[in-house]
Amino acid sequence: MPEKIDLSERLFNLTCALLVAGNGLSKSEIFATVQGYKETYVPGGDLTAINRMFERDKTLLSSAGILWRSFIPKEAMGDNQEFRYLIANEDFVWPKGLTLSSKQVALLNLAAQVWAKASLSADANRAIHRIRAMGEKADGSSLIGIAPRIRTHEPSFLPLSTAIESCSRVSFDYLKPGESDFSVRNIEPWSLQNIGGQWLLVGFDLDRDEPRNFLLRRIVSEIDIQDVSFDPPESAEITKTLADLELHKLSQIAKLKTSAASAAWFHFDLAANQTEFEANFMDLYLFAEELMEFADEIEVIEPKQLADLIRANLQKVSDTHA
Amino acid sequence: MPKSSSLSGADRYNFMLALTGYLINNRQQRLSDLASHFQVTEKEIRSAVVTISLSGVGMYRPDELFFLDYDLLEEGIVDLSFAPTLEAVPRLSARQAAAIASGLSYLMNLVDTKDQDQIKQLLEILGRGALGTKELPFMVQPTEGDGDLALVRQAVAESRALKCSYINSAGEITNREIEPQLLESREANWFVKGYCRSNQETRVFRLDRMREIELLEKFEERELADIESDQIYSVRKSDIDVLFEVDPEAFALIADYKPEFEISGNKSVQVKIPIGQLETLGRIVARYSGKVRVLAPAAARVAVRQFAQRALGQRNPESVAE
Repeated sequence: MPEKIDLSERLFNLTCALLVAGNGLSKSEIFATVQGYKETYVPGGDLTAINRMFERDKTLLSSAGILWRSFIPKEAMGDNQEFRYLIANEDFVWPKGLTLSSKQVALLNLAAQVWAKASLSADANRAIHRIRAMGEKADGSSLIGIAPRIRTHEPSFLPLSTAIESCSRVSFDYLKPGESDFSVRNIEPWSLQNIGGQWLLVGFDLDRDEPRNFLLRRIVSEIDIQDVSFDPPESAEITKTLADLELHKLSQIAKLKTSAASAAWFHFDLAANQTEFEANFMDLYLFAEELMEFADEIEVIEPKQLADLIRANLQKVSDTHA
Repeated sequence: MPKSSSLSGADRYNFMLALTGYLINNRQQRLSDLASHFQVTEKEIRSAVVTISLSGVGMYRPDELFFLDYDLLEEGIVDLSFAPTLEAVPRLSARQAAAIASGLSYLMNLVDTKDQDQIKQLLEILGRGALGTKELPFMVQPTEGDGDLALVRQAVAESRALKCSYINSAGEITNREIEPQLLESREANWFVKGYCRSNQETRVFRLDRMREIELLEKFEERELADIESDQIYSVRKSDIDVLFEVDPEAFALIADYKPEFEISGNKSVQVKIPIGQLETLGRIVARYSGKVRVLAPAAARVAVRQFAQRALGQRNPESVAE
């Protein structure tokens, strides 16, 4: 019995093989020569299992950012048309001449720690291994004692991120606040954006025929990733959608009143004798939630909808604790 | 300190690629230095280099593609030489780059202007250089700058005490002198952990409850008792176990107060969280507007109901029901 080769070794061998093969390798060449494959390969035998293993490995390489190419050599056109595979060096390595300073490495380290135990921490750690491999040591003297954290507790985050990377259409159930029933949304997902601590999906709504934003926390179903791909958006389209959102925020103004020396007065950083103030908000419902912890010391002058919403929320809290 | 957990699967594959790239440029490295550079155990390094040296593909048999000097390895020195392949460190995958770029963007308004310039350069590298033309699948938008935040960061970095006016959750305002040790964030909220000279103990302060912050002199390092880096709220013996029922939209509460609690699925969950003062519970629960319900003990339910009714009375005095 040959010694069992684990997944990491097989992927590593496959990567080296595709990197050193100048003319690429055909599938049968890979199966015959690469450790992890050749132990089970029987030429002319049943190839179902080994083919499946190869398909899976190709996906794993892609998701690790190792870009392989496949092509049919010109001289073989019209022949058996067998694909050959390779990894081009320029797809593999960092751009030439790129160096990082020790301060930059320290910032990159801290950036990776931002994910702590969130769902992206494994990817962040793998990135840090590659960054450390570039050789420079971290100088973090001015960054000691900072522990910022981003979280992704929404279960839809990873599937949406996968769908964005592969440009696959998705559908999900979305529950808008104030409505009792969810609606099914069919979206071309463009980008996930964290704005003020909230994760938003920016995408093209196929039913409404325009770009829309969705708060991940309002997605109430699993993400259905469909086998339909779309052309990725121009980055200008994403930028424009985000700029529109910012304009929308600037146009939404609440007038509020609190008393001096209250927690709200501290929170909104009001001047010594200031009790009335204005605040911009992106989403009425989110803003109402933000104000709830100060509900006993804040008065909403306008808009009336905000005042009504806070009152209704308080009533709900009171009712659920009767 | 190197971690003790061992790598497997995709993580180990990623690590071997990174290590190989590093060792090409850095011959004759001590095992101990490699372990501390990559933050993994010496055993992990040894196992990885042996695997690398045994990989053989195509025209290169094992030991021909990579040559490991086993005599030197016995002395704790890694010396790996190479046939012409794997010329450098692999670039980042889209998800790895997005994780790091998001972290950097989140740090933007936390660091000084010199570091901000470095972050801009790094974002440029991650956005283009590391990825070619592809868009990052997700990104964090930098939050608005906050003078208090920058000031406290400076205090932590320079080990300087600070003076401020602080309003606690009971609404009492006091002047405090704090020796800040750690600046942490949860969503949009920032917390300062430090030794409070006024109370002579280590406490956690919410940044938005501080005002009139001034930096004082450098302070001497102090042995801090039981500050766990992952827990903002330390549990005290006098805390009361409160049983919550939490809807999926409010899972952030669990992530804040009980990060070790495993959340799975899209259903409401029940969770016990120790709470110091029941009077503060109303504010915490109100924020989630009925999506968090306190089930027990009865005194905790009363505290929440009283907060809601007090707030309702404040905005509509004549209609205090019951």
